[in-house]
Parts: sequence; C-alpha cells; structure tokens
Amino acid sequence: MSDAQTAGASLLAVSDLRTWFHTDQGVARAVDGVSFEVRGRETLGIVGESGCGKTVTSLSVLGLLPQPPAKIQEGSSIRFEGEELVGASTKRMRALRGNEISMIFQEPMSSLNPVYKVGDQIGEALRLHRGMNKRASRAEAVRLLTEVGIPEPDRRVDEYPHQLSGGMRQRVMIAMALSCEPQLLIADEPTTALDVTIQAQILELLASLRDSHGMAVLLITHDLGVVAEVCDRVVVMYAGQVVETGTVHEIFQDPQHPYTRGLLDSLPSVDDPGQRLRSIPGTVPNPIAWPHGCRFKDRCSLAGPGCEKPQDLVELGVDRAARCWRVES
Amino acid sequence: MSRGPETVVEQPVSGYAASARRPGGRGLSAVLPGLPQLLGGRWGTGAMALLTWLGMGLILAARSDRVLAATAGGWDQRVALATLLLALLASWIWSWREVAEADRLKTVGVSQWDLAVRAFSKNRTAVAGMIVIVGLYLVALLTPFIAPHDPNTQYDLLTNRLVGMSAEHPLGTDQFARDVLSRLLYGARISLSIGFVAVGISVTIGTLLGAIAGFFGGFIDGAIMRFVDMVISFPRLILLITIIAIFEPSIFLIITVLGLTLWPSTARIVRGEVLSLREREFVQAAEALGYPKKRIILRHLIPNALAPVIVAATLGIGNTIVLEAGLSFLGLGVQPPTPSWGTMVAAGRNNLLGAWWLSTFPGLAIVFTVLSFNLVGDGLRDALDPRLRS
Repeated sequence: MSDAQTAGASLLAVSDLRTWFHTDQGVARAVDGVSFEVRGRETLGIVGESGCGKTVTSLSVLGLLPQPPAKIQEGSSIRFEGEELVGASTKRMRALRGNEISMIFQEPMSSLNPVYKVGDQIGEALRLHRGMNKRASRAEAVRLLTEVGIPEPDRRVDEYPHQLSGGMRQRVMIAMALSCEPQLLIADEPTTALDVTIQAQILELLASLRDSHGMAVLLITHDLGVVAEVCDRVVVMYAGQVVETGTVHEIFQDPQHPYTRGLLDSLPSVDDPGQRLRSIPGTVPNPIAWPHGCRFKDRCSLAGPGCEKPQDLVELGVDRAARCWRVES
Repeated sequence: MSRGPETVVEQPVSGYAASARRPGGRGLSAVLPGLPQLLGGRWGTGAMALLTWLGMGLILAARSDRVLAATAGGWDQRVALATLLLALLASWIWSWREVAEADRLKTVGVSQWDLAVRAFSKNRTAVAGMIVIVGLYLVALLTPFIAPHDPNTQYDLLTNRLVGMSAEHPLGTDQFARDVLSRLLYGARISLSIGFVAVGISVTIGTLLGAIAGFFGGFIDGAIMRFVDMVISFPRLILLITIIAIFEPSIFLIITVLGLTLWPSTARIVRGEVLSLREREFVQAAEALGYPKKRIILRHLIPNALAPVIVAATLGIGNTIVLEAGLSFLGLGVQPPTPSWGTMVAAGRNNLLGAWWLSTFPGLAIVFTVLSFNLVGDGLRDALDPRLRS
C-alpha cells in the first residue's frame, strides 16, 4: 500500500471539470465546472437525479467517453495522486484503468461477457496487467470469488455468467474490479438493478472491501438511502454542477440547498407512515439549454428575486458549501 | 441484514447426460466404439460411432494395398491416410468420452455453445443434414482409397464407352470410357473444398472488416462500408467471368475470386452485431479494465458476433458450391480432365437421352449437398438464436 493510501490525503482531485458534448442540436454542457476531491480510504458519494452529469463525471475521470462527440474543455483538471489525467496518453490511461482506478457498472446482467467463464474474465485483467499465467490467475480468481462472498468458488469459477443470479454477477464484477488492487473504485449505481435485500449485501461488501483493501470508493447514485448507508462525504449534483457538499451527517441533518432538501423530502419516512411521498416538480432541464441564472429556479419552491443571476458555490466551512444565495443571509 | 449467499438455480440436466451409466461402459467402448451407447439405448450416438469405426475398418481391410502404398504416395493420398487413422481413433475416443461425460452430471460450465449444441441435436432434419455433410467430407478425403478406378483413366473406347451401370462400373462410364463413380468421388473433393476454402476466406475478411467498422465507427466505418457497397454493386457472376476470362482458369483462381467477392455480406452482419454489442456494458467494462482495443475486438466482440456468421457461412458454402458448378458448367471453372460436379453435368448434357447417368448423378450430388448445407444452416440459426430456443 502506497503513501497516498493514508487516510485523509487527496487521492483524486477534480477541479473545474467541464465535459461538453458537441451534438447536431448544439453543445450539451453535461458537466459544467465540477470540482471535488476523493481522499484515501474514504467513500465519497455523488448524488443527483438522472441527467445531472454524475455518470459523465465518472467516465471523464477514466477517459472512457468517446471523443468526439465528448470534449473535456480547456482548464479542466483531473489529478490522480498528483498526476494530471486530462490529456494523458491513451497508453498511460490504459495502464491506469483496472490497475489503479477500477469501475463497476449498473447493469450486472450485461456487464459480463456471455461467452467466457467467470474465472477467465476475472483472470484476464491479472494476466494482462500483472503478467500472470493461466494457472496462477485462476487460483487468484478463486480467491477473489471467496473474498466477494460467492459460495462454492471452486465450482463457480468455471461457470458462465448466465448461470449466475444478478447479485452474484455484481459480486463477480466487483471481484474483477478488485483483481489488480486498485486505489480507487468508481461504482456507478452499483445496486440500482438489484433487489433490495441484495442491494444491502452488495453495499456491505463494498464497505468491508474498502476497509480491508485500504482503497477509496467514489459511489455514484441517485439513492440517498444508499448514501446514508456507506458514504463519508457527499457531493450533490444538479444540472452539471455541484450544488452542495458536506459530510453525510451535515447533508442529512442540515441541508442547505433547496434541491438537497427536495431530495431528502422525497425519501419515504419511517416516522410518518401513511403520508404521501413528496416529489420535486418537473424534470432536469436539457443540457443543451440550461436555464439562465440559478439552474434550479424553475423547480424551486423558494424561487424569487435574487435567483435570476448565476449562483456561486458559497463556502460554509471546511468541505461544506452550497450553490444558493440564500445561505449567505 | 444477513449476508448469506443468494440461492442459485441449478441448470436442468440434459436427457442424454442423465441416462444411467452402465457398469463397465468404458471397457465396452474400448472393445467396440458405440457399444455402450447402443446398450444404453442411445441409438443415434451409438450407431454413428459404430458405423464410422466399421466403415474405416472396412476400407482398411478391403483396400489394404492402397492404404499401405499411401505412405509413399502424393499429398492427397497422405491426407486420406491421416483422415482414415484419425476417424478410426476419433470413433474410439468419442465413444469413451461420451461414457465419461454421462457419468458426471454436467451442471458446471454450461456455455451458450453447449446450449446451442443441445438445441441443435434435437432438430432431426438438421442433424440428418450434418451427418450427410460430415459423411461427404469423409468420403471426399478418403476418395483415393474408396474410388474403384482412376478418374482420368480411359478404358477401351470400343467396348467401354457410355456403358450403363454394372458391377465393374457401378454408375456407368462416360463418353471417354471413364468410370463415373470415381469421377463423382474425385469431383466431390474439388466442389467441397472450393466451397469450404472460399467461404473460409470470405468469413475471415468479412468478420475482421465488419468488426473494425462497427467498433471504431465514424470515418473508418464509412470508408469500409462504402467499399462494401461498391463490391456488392458489382454483378458477381459477370465479375467472376471477366476475371477468369482474363487469367488462366484454375482452382486457385476460382477459390480466390469467390473468397474475395463473398465477404461483404459477412462484413455487414458482423458490423451490425458489433454496433449493438459495443453498447453493452461488458465492452465498457473491458475498456474500464484497461484492455487494448485489439483485444476487445478479437476477444470480446467477435466471439459474441459469431453466431449469425456461422449460419451465414454454412448457407454460403451451399451457395458457393452451386456457383462453382455454374462456372464449371459454363466451362470457366475447373478445367478438364479434372472432374468437378459442374463439368460432369455439362459434359453429360449432350448424351442426356442415351446415357442419362452422366448428368443425373453429379446433379443429384449437387442437390443433396446444397440441401444438406441449407438444412444445417437453418438448424444452426434456430439453435443459435436464444429467442427461438424453447
């Protein structure tokens, strides 16, 4: 484990990331000036509705977006252990992916290759990045399957993805992502496609693996319940921007931005059974034409004078900020 | 929340694997291949192993002089010898392994290919076609041992010309007093190998170009697919006739020209498959794990795009055999005296009323071969498409 792995040190620093898509309809500013930091051994959650730019942010970090149409704009910076990744060579990015930064995806049904045995798929990264031979990589695959809690790993290692349940496939995905001991694991909606009991198992697994491997996790989700369960700090995104940051405690106990409050209000409450669920009216606007001024004002119950000008992120303390002029007063 | 393992649905065990093992099955298979299967009631597999073994044994016994001479013979005789020994060995090993497979219930590692094989083996017409094709290729490879006469030897023109079926010449003789059965068997070698090799070339080119076009998209895709459109827009038969008219007609020229003109349809199929596959998350996952593009195309995309290619290739071999027969019929294909089914049909058409056997047998050979390929192709399409699998 390297020095950067020590808790609290900055592992991934994203600053002023702007990823735009050049389409026939115009320029879609999917990610528009996002800054955040992931520190060693912590779990940072990125929360927001669909279309807020969460996934584009994570794919930008790994350089996985097809360019064109995507284009990371001038002035954007993604630093991993101090190394600038924006504009890094394809070769360097390829060496980084899987090895130091890994990613798991939402849909466990389609994220494994149907024609290979799971053991071959887990072992492939090891053979490629670590130069292991077939026998060693298979033994390692069995060990990883055990570690991610798959029963009878000796047998499962020779099975094909279609023989596994959704939860088991997600465990296999995690085993693949962990195979080369990455320092950062990006999990993009890892539990959305699973049923609730399996969701909890997978989240517990991620948390325990984070501790045992000493890695950091960047968790992307639209589910605040998931955030409450596993995250240390939270970044709330809306319309391609960060609208609020804070610790899980701060976000849940003392939300500052009206959007964060809206998200929290839409959670079902145990204290108040029988009450109708509230929702935020409207949908995320089109990234080709974000609203002028505050991007949330059309859906905000507090909208009024002062919201027509663009909002800046207001510092409220250490790691605490919100993008709303009202928090100043 | 408990963190227990999720329950796993066991794969259903296929019927043949579940059939009980007889004690001493392996020993029986060592005595006579197919015997344990026949005793166990699996008639089809047993008969196939036994018939292969008996057939090879029969050739070995009846034509021992030719088999022995083959060790010092030309390359086609050596190929025939190798085929003979391999088929003999294979019937033994296959019977032995089938017994062993039936011993342990196969629930681990059932791939999509295994499922397809099971679906295919339930389709009787397709299996029949497959048996005919395998038999044809075996016969074609073993022709130097089987053929009663040399295909190009002219017997006494006064007494043996256009003689009907007899014990000496089972399918009669042609206008040059050559044995029709022998020419038919040697013709099978030409026709079948032209179909196989030409389709092999076109599938390789088509798969690679189609995968590259589908994976990279953009300019590369446009360039490759416009080239495909261009090749397709040439009338193929006229292109073939022109090229063959310019150069000296030979088997290699025909194979090359067929191979180089048939690939665009494969390229289109593979491109379409890859376009939809590359949106699947396992391709993104492979990129996220830092695999090089070449590896993603060759190891992750192409194997998943192969099912429709196999179907198209099977049907393509049938088409190519017909095309080759057509070219040979026109005199542009295989040149005499080398026998091919197309040239035999063409040569017999002047004597159709007096000596019907000249054109009929090669014609039937073409029909049954192409029919078998089409049956197998249809069976493969059903077996490889999970939506059609029940």
